[in-house]
Amino acid sequence: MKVKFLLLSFMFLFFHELMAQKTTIRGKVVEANGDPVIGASVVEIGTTNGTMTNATGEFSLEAGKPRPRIRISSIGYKTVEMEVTSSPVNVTLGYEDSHLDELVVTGYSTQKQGEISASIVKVSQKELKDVKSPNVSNLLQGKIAGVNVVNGSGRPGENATIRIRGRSSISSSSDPLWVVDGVIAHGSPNINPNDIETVSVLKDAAATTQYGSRGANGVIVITTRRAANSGAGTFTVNIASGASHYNQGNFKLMNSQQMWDYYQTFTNPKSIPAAITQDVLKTNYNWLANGTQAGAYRDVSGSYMGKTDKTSFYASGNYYKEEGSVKGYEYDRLTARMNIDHKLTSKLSFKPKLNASFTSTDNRQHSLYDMYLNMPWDAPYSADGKILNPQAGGITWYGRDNRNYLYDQQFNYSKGQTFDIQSNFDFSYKINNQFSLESMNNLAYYNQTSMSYSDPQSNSGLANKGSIYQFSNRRIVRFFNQMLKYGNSFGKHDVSAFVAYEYSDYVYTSVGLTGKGIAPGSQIVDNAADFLSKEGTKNDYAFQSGIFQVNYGFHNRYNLQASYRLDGSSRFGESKRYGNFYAVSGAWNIHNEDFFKVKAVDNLRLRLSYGEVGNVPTGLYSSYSLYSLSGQYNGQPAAVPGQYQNPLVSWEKSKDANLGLELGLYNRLDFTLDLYNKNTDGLLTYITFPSTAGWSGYYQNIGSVQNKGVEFSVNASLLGKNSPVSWSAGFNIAHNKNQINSLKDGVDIPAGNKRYSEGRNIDSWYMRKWAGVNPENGAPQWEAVNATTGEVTLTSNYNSATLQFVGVSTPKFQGGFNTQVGFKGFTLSGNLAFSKGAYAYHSARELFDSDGAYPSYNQLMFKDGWSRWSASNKDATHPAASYNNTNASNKTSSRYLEDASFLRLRNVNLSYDIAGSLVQRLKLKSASVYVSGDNLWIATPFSGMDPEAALYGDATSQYASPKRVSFGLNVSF
Amino acid sequence: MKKKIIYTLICGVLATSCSLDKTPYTALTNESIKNTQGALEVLNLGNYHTLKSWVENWHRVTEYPGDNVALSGTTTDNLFYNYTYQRLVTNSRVNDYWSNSYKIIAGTNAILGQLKEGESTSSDQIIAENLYLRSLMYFYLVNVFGKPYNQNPAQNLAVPLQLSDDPFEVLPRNTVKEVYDQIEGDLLKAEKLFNQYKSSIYGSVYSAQALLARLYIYTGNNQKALEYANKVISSGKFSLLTAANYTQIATGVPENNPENIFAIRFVKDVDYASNGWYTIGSLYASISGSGWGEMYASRTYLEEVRKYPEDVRYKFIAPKILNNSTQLQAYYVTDDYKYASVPVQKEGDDYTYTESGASKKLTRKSNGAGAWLYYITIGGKERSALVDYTLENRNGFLKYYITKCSGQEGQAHLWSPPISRLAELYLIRAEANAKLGNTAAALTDVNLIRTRAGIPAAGLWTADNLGTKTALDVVLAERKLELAWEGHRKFDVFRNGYTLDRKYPGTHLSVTTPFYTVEPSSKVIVEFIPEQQIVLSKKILTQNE
Repeated sequence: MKVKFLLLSFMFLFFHELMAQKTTIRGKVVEANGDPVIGASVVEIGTTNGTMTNATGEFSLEAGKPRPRIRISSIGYKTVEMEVTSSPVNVTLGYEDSHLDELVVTGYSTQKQGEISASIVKVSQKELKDVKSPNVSNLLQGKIAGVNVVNGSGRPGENATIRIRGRSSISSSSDPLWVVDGVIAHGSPNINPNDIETVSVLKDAAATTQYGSRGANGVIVITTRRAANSGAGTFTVNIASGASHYNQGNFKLMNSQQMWDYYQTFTNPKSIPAAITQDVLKTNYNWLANGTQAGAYRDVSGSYMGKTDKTSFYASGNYYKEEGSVKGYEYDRLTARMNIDHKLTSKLSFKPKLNASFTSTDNRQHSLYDMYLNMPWDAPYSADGKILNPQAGGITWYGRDNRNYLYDQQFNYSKGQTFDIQSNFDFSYKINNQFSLESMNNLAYYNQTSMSYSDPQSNSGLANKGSIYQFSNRRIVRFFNQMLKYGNSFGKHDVSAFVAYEYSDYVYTSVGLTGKGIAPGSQIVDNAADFLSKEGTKNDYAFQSGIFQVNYGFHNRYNLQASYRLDGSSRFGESKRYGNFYAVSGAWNIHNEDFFKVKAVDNLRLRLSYGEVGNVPTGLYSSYSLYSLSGQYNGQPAAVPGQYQNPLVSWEKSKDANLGLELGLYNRLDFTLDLYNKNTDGLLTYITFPSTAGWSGYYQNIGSVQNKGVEFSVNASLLGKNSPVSWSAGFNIAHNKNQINSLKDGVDIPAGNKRYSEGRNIDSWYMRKWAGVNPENGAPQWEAVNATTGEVTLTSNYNSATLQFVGVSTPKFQGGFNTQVGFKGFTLSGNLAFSKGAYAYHSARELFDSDGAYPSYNQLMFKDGWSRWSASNKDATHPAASYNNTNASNKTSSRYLEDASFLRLRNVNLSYDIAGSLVQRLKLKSASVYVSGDNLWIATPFSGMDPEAALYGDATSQYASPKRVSFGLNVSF
Repeated sequence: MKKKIIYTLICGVLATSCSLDKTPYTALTNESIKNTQGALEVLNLGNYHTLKSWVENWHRVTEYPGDNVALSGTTTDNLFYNYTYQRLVTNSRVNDYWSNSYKIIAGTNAILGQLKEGESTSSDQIIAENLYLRSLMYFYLVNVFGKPYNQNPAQNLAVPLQLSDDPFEVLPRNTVKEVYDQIEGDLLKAEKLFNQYKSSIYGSVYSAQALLARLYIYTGNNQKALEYANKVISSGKFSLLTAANYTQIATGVPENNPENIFAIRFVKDVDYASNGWYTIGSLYASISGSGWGEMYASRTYLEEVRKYPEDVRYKFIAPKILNNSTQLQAYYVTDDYKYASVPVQKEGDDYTYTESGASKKLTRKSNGAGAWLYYITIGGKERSALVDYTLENRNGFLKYYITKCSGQEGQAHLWSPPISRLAELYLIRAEANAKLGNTAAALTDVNLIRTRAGIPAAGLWTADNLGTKTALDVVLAERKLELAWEGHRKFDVFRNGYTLDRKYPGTHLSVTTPFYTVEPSSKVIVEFIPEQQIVLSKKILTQNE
């Protein structure tokens, strides 16, 4: 393309030369700060006549006509076209709008990408919106290197679990901190994804120190939208709807015949109850198919954005409704937001914000656990279509507990309503050109009410003649931040700084009541004949902090940042209440250096940071001995010892170093590489006493954990601006190595099926090691390790098998891949997430792959390669089965520990921007339609529903993220 | 003007409260205990409160390995391993039982550490109550985790004796004898310190004496057992219920039951979580839609208790009749210990049935007191037959619901389990007399209990009608009938060197390697020390074989 153009230009030049009058123009090309732009190209438009600027930015060009039009361009700068009316000309080139110029919210302040010295990743609105979920946490999966997002449950409205750069705490929270428009949120915020302008993820201490004790697990900073351009307002409507399908993954249950065949393999057929005859085959009921569906979902939102010279305004409303892929659960959410920036005077601006959401759930959800365990030999309906109640007796029922969950489910339900309102009264006052005052004042009110209803006819309501439970809880969070900001330039030196005081407190209260004896259909406790039970609690915490941060930039080449935060928390004893946290970081924009003039390289940056952040215990009153007052005896109050005191319990501190390298080539390829090493000391641990102590345990700062890792991402525009087809792709991958470096007295700490041990990953499984089936007799085998000699023998006695380390539950590496292809208004995008090397304990197999231990539970179909031991199949994966098997083959061991690696097509999306003429005819600004699919495909060796949900959620009766197909329409006018 | 607004705002914001002092709402702290009057009494009641959680697994680890119960299926619940003697080191039921026992022990240690004897009558009373509770905990611990006293008690290991208020102290296991000695000393001390009788739902001098009587009968000190049983019986504080109101043992308010010496008080509605689904009684019966109803009265118990139709103890069995059936069945047990039945018709005192087209009669034998016992001959063998209307079954096991642990004050599965009641003291005295050779005195006490149960005079024991039985045999048989589901049976069998007979229908026989009988010498008669506790103790605790 370029070559053709050059050739053509040459020919033009040739003819031109003969006929043109010549004029010499001189000029100088400089940057905004006055520095010369060296090697910029200066071309007379319409000719091939051109030159380059010299070392002082000066040029001289023989033009063909007296008032020529010239084009001045240089990589990294905005191209300038101008008519030359006099000579010499002075031209100032602005920087190109590369990503280096993009503003990134870094927490309390905003910086250009090119000035940031910490490890911060920004995700824009566009990148967020592919996946459909009402919760922003779900939208981040696979998009940022080093940010592991796991959907623990597929139930509508459930939040994902997020881990940034591994787990660095044993008993404190590992969840990141959420900050919305500068306000620290309690938990993950209720926010309409359409309202989000950008999300910044703060990964290293240099970025998170400003949040001190709150930022140890990384910070996710959300900025909501505001009108940017003045002019006529824009009204935007987004409509999407679709369906969620239940996602069974690799988990397949037996049908009636398969169950019967399984019974025939029992080695003790005489123990099978006589009532189980071939008659069972008359029924073949699929409980799972009955209880699952394609749940409808709808998402409608509208927003208005407008700006005048004094006021910018953003308002939006959203209605989101989703039915579960498991029948009987409905999630509804209404949100509204208003963001206003109003300039009262040239110095004073008010920035009030209001965000409210109302969420309601209606829960008559079919019981997943029952759907899995119920026998295909039992059907829930009688021949005439009535729902059977085997509890009432007189019905042949093979499954355990005589339980047909559909019977109670037809009467009983629960409902919940959450009202969540965030109000900001923020303002800023510009003292002079250097100083300004920013004030953030936020009140958050979260109120949840719920009720559940047990009908007098239902089995669960029978004894109480029906009951109603009403529960109400509320949290009030107050957040105040008063900040003095400073910014100035001294020639090539840029300095900015802020100092702030911050206070926030939280109080939670709840009250609940159950009444019994009700008329069917009642919804309130008042209608109950009598009182049954009560509950109610309260807790609170507060933080108080002073924050100081200074940024220094030199000549667009060097950036330095230092931060300090003094944090006080009510969760510690008086003597240990305050902690100091600091960080320093620097960045070097090598590509701006004079000596570095590699044309292909438009960005080469080196970042280095070091800092310290803290973490607080999950217990709100960790320093005290607690005698719980929840008890009573014979109606008199009673106190029972629980947590034991430790007034010296203090901050858990992480020292974090980060080295980052960014490389941009040809304005098309961007590479980012980050290396980090985070050492967490004074690990907050709840030490459990042996039960002989009576007290449950106490908090102590013991030991240290190290997380070190590599994060790499690349984004590429594979087909350039001039191609009719655009194609971009991005890839990110992260590896984190976690190791416990020390523990109290070097002694291991047991944690359920895991164990904390020096030199090992914090998520190490510790259980009996499965050693397969004894080929001689079909008995299960485990390893028995001799404590003194270390000799390993095999045993079929579960009790004498040795507990040992058998794997870890965190991935070796994980990341994502995304791509986008555009052609004439069509855009096809895809987003893959992957994870490798994590092992999940598939606890469902204790029940559903039980070798006869639970003969009245439906069982899992064998995966390819699995087989049951028999005299003719001695080389088997599964031991001989027997009725009421008690050889413990299904008890916890590495037998059910499975590779939870996966590659998942998180989303695929095809959209079309409706062509200009049609849009204009309808007086629209823009319009697009799309079709989108979530979770359509997964490759995994895991035998359960969802390898992700198994790692962080419930692995017994899993509710996997559904497969979802949706259609949408976006219109602006 | 505008500046004024701003300054006002800033001042307002800065003036908001900035305190970091937060104290818990749901708990007392050391400071608040010091500053609160009556805090000691609240802590004292804390131990009684924990008894309510303790008692659930106490019941499961003491009662399920006996021969009064029959489980009808398998269950994910670890109680299955208590019931089948297929011991498991990770049994959560055993671990919870251990934990709650020591939680109470530590609670008593904390109070005992704060009080000195003789300071005041009220503190002496609290010391005595706590010594009693601690002794009660150790008494069951030594029996669940240690072998019976008649098996080398100075060598066999029991449980660690934690006696000080120090959570950091981790001690090794003491011997069976050391634990018993501690209990005896503590109870004797408590006996002296008690100065107030509150009611039978709190520790008292009588509950301490009742436990001492039991301790002496367990350790073979029959003279002392006799002495302490007499102390309680002759105190005049307690009396047996009549046959007519016998069911009040379960359904009455415990402190109103004149027979109770110590019971753990559950309050209606208040101590009734989850609609009663996780109570002791919920496994035995499904009442008003609440309860699993998966474990039934054993066939051996049923045959004993139905020997005399007048026996009121059968009132705690509720056979679940199928759809109000009016068809009678003769239920018998096959050679492989499964239930089987034939439909029968009542003709006078006889029951007839059809076999291979021919009408037959059940064999009828007198019980010696005006009623009949029936037998059926199947496969050439005469078998006991119990005649009932057609019953519901679960996996072939007949639903003879046990209601002795349910129904207090009309609430489906509310129950205040008795720990000591007067009937046990009569039977301790009987056992002591039997062992001391005072057969007549032993039988008098046994007959006192049988008469109260409604058994006619012809059904009472005399020196002449014992036959091949010893006086001890009939005492133990009476204990089985009278004290069933109160946590005695397993210990009664093994501490007397008897073999436990479990040859009756139940899923304990359908496991891979079932125990038809359990010898007192078997290692399975003691539970494993929970693996988790060995790990937490850093292996200072050692495991049972």
